[in-house]
Amino acid sequence: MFGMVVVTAGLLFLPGCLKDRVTESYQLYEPVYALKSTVLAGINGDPGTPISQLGQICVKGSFIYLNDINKGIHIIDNSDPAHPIQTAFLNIPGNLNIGIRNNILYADMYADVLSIDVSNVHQVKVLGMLRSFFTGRAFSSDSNYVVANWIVKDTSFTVVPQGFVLIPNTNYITYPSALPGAFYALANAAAASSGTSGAGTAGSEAVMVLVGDYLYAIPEEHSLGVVHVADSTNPTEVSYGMGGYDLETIFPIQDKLLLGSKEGVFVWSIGNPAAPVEVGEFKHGTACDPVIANTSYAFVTLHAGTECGGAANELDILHATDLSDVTLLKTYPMTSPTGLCLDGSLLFVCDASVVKIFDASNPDNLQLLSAVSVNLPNDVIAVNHVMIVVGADGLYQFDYTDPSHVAALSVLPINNSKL
Amino acid sequence: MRNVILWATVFTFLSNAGFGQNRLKFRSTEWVGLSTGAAGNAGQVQSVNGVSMGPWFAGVGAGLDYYRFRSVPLFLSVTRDIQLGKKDWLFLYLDGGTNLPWYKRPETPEPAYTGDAFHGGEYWSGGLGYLWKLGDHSRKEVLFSAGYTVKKLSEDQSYQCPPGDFCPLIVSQTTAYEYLNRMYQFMIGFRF
Repeated sequence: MFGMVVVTAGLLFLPGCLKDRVTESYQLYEPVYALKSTVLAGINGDPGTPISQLGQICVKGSFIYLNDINKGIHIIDNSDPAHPIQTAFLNIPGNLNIGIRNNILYADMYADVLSIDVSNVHQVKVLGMLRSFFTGRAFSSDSNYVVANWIVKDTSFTVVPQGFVLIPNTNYITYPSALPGAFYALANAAAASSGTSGAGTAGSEAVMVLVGDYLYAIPEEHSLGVVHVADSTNPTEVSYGMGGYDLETIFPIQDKLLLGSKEGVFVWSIGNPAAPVEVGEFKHGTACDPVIANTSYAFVTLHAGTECGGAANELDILHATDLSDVTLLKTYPMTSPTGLCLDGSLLFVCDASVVKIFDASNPDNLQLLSAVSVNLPNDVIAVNHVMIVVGADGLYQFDYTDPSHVAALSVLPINNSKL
Repeated sequence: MRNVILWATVFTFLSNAGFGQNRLKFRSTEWVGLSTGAAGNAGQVQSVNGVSMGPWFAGVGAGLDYYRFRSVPLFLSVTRDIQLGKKDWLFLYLDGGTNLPWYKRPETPEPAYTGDAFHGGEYWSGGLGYLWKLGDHSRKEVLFSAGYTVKKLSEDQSYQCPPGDFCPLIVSQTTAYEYLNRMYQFMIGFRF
């Protein structure tokens, strides 16, 4: 028996017994590259395909252009909003942003911007390409190649125990300030154009808009870029510089651009369209914040609980008669507001599980007219009494002829796919 | 209910059955201690309750362990006492069971995940100790032990693209962690 004690004592203090082991398992996304020329040749207006993940929307005429994140653009014949038809699909890998002017669709393909003639949605034609504009989204060192697909692999390996990091040159570990990320998500992006002649109407979370002969965009989160698109076969970058900090959205109003950032709203004048100049700034607490405006007021939603940080969930209304001197008029508490839009005196706000419709005739005293249930609405467009809502599980349409009694028209469901 | 009565009867019978020195006795041991390993030092407490027969003890234990992630071990324990002198003994012990998590990650301003859940795993512990009886006929004993413990936990950190955010590449992702924690365990206890 005493031998057992000795053996047990010996085993206890074997070296190496204290090495904890942490195994981390996740899905690795491996890019599959293709020649750009091959990919561009394949953008021709394929038949409609199931929707995987809703992105930006843009409405032009009787068509809805709907971004399927990283996959392309669904073209939906919305002549009858009660019966929308997915009529074509543009296979554009890496696409997030949409802008349309006349019959020319501008869309990003990762870092590049394409101009596409959509006069006939079943026989579209790529007219031109501006290379390497969205600098934050260049995934290929060779500009002749683009990521055409991603292969998902289950991956598992041993890591330094999570929650601790090795102190250099020692065998000791300590607690780090942040958790390691096991996956990565690319920068937020979205696209739309709004309220300019010949341009489509889009949501509030745009990072790319068309005004006159110019395309304005946030090519990466601190920059404002300008592309001259008068010649759609040759979109040309004319300006690229600092636009603000942590930029997220861009909205054109009159001769100004409102750049929504995590910290506030930056106001830029495009009096000289090719050379924007910053003329004002409004700061709020840190949060995600799409911004829209009319000639008198700007409307900003802040929502917390995301990678943007912050704790505010609110709708801010700003005096915007003088856009160089934007000041806060009033704050309304919200649950988790995201996209918003205006139609005359009606204000539409996506908030948690509903879209709220307000009478905004007096912004100092918004009147809630109705709250329409949608599964996690993200963005909304209201055109011709048809409210189009991007929800978590589909594209919803409602008739708001009577904004106090909104009627459901249709839902285009998405196919739940990870990529 | 019938089973409870049956087991209670059996237990009472066995507890009172005359086996001389080897008759079954209810024993309870309360422990406080320290776990030490690659993640540092952490406190722990345990309560083990069961029956002894001669030099053997078998019981059920529950504890609270703060090593790396707070958890609650639930285990079966077997102990063999080895007499050295009139009052001083050695003992060997082996515990095995499950380790249940009781831990929630602190909130951070910009978490890299939208959901986080810990799951239980195995619990093993073994070692030796020294036992000092407080009196010739007393059942009260003070115990010191040194052992080696393995406790496992797993964690799933899930990420779902939040409503209102665009997640261009990854809509959802779950990262699974398997934690194999190995530590020395030093405890002091009181048995009665």
